[in-house]
Amino acid sequence: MPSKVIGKEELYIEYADKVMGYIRSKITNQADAEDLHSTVFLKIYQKFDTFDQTKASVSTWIYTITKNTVTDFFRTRHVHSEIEEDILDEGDEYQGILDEETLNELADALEKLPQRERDLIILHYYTGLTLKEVAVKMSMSYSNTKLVHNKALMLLRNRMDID
Amino acid sequence: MSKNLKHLFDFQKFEGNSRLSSMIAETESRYGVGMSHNLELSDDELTLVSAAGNTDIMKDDKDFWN
Repeated sequence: MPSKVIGKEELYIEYADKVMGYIRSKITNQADAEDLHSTVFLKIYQKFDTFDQTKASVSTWIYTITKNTVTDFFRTRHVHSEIEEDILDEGDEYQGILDEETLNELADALEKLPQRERDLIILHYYTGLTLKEVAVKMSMSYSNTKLVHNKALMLLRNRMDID
Repeated sequence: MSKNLKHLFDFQKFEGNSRLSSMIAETESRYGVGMSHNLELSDDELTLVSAAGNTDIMKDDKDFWN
């Protein structure tokens, strides 16, 4: 259960940069990013009074609003290639792992990986390269990249509390 | 595990865990990828590029050459 209760006035101060950082990681056009940023905070203020901070994390809630707003933007523009289909519309299934503690756990596990495995995981899961693109970047064969990927996942699974 | 990682790394783009950010920056720099390599110029920035690269300005300014 989250311990810190945040007021409406503090929301912008605490989350403006995080919201913009996320938007800019998906949308390169500055004008579009600023429009979306405003839209996100409009939604946040509209829904704030109905959000129960004692039952869920403010951070995860705002992240979800931001993510969905970006998704709607791409859908409106019919830019299907930008929509990461496999993380959309999955409801609350992953909400429980989206917190600072799990990110720290991921950081611990990544630090312990050999550099090659760590780079592969970051390039594939953060930067968004396909495994074929990762193979090219890392000067490995595609089959070897898949092997290294599986090895990295196994190592991470062993070191983290999630599966 | 794979889907969990996708969600976690997507959440990292929002939360910005400093340790993860550091590792990510190092990896992306090593391979020349990531946001710092793909930023789109704003309209204001584009006008500066146009001015800097526009040699016609020099050709028209005869006084500059005399």
